[in-house]
Amino acid sequence: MSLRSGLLIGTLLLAACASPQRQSPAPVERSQPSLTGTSAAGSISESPGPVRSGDGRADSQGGFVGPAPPAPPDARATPTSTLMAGINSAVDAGELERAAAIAERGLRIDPRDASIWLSLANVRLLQNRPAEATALAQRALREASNDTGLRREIQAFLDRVTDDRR
Amino acid sequence: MSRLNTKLPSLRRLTVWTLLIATIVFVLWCVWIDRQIRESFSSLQWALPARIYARPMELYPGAGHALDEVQTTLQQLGYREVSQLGRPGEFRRLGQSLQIQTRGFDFWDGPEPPQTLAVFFAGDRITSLERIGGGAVPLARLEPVEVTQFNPDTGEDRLPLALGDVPLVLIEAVIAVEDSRFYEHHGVDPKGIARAMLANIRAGGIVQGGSTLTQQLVKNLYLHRDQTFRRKIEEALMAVALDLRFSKNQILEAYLNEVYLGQDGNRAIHGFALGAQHYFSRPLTQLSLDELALLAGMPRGPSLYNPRRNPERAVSRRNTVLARMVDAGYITEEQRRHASQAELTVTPRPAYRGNGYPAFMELVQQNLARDYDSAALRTEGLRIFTTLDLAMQTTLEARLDKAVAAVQRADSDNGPLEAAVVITDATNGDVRAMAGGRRAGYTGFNRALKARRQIGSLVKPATYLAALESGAGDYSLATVLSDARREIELDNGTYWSPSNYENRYFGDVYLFDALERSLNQATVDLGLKLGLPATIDMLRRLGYNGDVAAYPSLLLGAVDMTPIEVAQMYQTLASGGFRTPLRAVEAVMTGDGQRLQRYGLAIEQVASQRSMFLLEHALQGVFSRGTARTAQSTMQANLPLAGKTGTTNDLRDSWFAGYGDDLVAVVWLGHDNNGATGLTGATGALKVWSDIMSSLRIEPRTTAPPPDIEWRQVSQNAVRDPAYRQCQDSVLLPFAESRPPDRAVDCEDDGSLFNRVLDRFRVFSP
Repeated sequence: MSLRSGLLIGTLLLAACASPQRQSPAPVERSQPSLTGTSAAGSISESPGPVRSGDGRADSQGGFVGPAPPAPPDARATPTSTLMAGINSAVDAGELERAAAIAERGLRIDPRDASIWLSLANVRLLQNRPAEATALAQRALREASNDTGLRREIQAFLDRVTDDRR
Repeated sequence: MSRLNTKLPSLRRLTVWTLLIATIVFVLWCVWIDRQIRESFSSLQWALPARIYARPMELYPGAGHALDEVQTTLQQLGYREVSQLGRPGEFRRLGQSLQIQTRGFDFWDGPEPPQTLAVFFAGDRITSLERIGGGAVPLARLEPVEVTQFNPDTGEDRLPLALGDVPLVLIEAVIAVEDSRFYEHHGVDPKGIARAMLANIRAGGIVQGGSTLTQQLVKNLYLHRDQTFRRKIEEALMAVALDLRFSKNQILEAYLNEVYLGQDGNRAIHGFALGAQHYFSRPLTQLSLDELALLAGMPRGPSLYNPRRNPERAVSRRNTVLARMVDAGYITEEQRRHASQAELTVTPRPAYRGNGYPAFMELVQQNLARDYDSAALRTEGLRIFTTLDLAMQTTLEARLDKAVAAVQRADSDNGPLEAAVVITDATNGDVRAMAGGRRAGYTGFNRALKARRQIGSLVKPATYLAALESGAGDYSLATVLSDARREIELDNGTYWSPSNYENRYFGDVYLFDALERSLNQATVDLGLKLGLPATIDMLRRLGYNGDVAAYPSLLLGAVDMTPIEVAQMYQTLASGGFRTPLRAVEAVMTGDGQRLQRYGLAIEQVASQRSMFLLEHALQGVFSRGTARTAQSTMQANLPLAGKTGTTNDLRDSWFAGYGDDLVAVVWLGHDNNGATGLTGATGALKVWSDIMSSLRIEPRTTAPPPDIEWRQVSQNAVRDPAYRQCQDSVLLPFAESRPPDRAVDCEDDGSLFNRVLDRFRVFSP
């Protein structure tokens, strides 16, 4: 009898002790592990939020892929030439969405540069998005009104996209 | 006696039972606590706010930034002005140049390395950019300014750091001052408690705490602040359990990330990494001994030892920490002396946060809502890269209220005139600045996103573009329209009789002229010839997805849109007929720098470049000859520009939408109760637009003609019979090669001598 009541008291005590713990604001919600040492460099599948399926090639491997190669100390390098080199190396590395991001950075700096529009069109084509590639090449054409050589190149690109789509 | 005999054993039994039960309860309690600690600490995760970044400033030769503008950005980033560069996060002004030691940043498209730059200016431009001691740099970008956060409910902010990334000196400082026997005790430190008690008795008050780091961590993580006896026992048990189950390094790391170091508005600063950013605007790894010692001393009293508010106390506390470090053998006396003499290097104020840009952030949340729920946004520590142009937003906020006050009619009794402004990048649809109300920094009804109003004549370009794009009718800028009063019978048998502004009618007019002067009857003439579906279809192509009622009044703007929807339409015009969805967010990364998502530039061609060029000629005419010609003096340095005024019935809404090469801006003025403003698009919104856009130095609109455009002289007056044309003072207009002007107006068409002589003759005849 007394044992049972003792257990009862014990249980109640436990409950009493436990309750503040439940009430105390949980310091935690969903987030990255703070103990990064224990689960270092979580792969992107563990990371929060949705992961863009996108083209599935460039970025779904996650992780920062090394620092961009430092621009060669060329006195004649321009913002555009630097970024074009960046686009090309990202394309070579198969990081197509990163290449697109660099191209867009270039367009913020010089929206009139038809060659950057064309590079972006090319990236979209590599990503298998021919409709976007076409529109971007048309946009390139708009900016290349005075450059017949470039116009021809853009036109060839457009013809290629059209052929591919057929 | 026998009673006593029986009573004694029962008393003993009771005691034994009580002890037994107490022991069982205590053991169970311990087991319970142990389980709790194991579970909760191993899954310990911080709720981290999302950090919202403005678009970063790009530095390159030719960039349109004045020195002051760059300096302001550096200050917003918490850079310190110094006389000699020594550390990242410092800059120096030297005449017309700036020397900057950047911190570097992991952008979505790749890392920007920290470097030491010299930037030279002339006027409003950067002339050259060099790496100090390294030669020319073609391009560099500063870190993006963190403009606000989406905070978790706890209000806590921190930058969790792995123990391996914490400077050893900081760890030593913390251990020396808070818990010198940290590596020896088992969660609680009886020796420490005894020492503290002794010290307290000697001092006659509480001068020293006996809590270990482990106890402090347990208290901060799991217990309330109140100090009851049971709580102290619980704290001690939990500390022992924590020490038993986890390594010293895990405990230390959690402590360094958890500790509270101060308050920034409603944001609580936790952890030493964020503390370093908050007080020194630099990463922890870049702090010196004196700075680290200062931080290590703060947990004891974050407001008491706040170096901004109580610099003397903070210094004295820092020096105590340094002394303890010598006692513990972590630093030499020489190091202590040197560090104790260091001046406080705290940045003068918390890193710039502005007003949080509530209107823009609402758009950011709207953009992200498709992919992230609101809990994720507030707790997962995402880095959100927005398109906000801080300098532009600041200019907008600085000018808007005054500009609106300047046009508000004194006789208006509808309360304050309200406003909404959306400014986007003409190329890529980035929303660069936004105001949801006249006082832009205030949270409240966001008119830019939510005020749905009739758009008046802003709709007209859709009809005109539909005509130029239409395969039938051979429409050109010189098509002759009839601007005469008319009554139109509607489907329900009633009549609609629109009127022109000020009830003036102009008879036969050119298409371009009807758009420039916003003539209602001529537009109705055109729109009905094309059929309403043509205008509706064009509105869709331009990017408007909302409701449209197919009544003829649509042609004059009887369609309700929000300012941002109007901005979307005019964005398509400004990008030369390429529909580009507006965006406020460019990319999202996780807190530890992994790329999550990017909202890339997506364009779709919805009108030919030829038609766009023709339309734009008329929209530029709005400034040079049409309804916006009153802005010529203000915009002198910026013309040519393209745009359109909009006015609604009874002057309820005053609109202006316009663009140059770089920017598109839409301004709406009106009353929240939809009362009359007494303003037309030209007397209200256009003036506000001009005020803001001239301050932003909007670039002139200079579209090169596509190859299939030819320029032709047409008769000055719009006529339907060549007998009446006037070519002595002709008008030069662009035409599609495939659609030359009608013979009736073409001054270059029939070059026959007879006709030219006839034209001459007409000039001289009355």
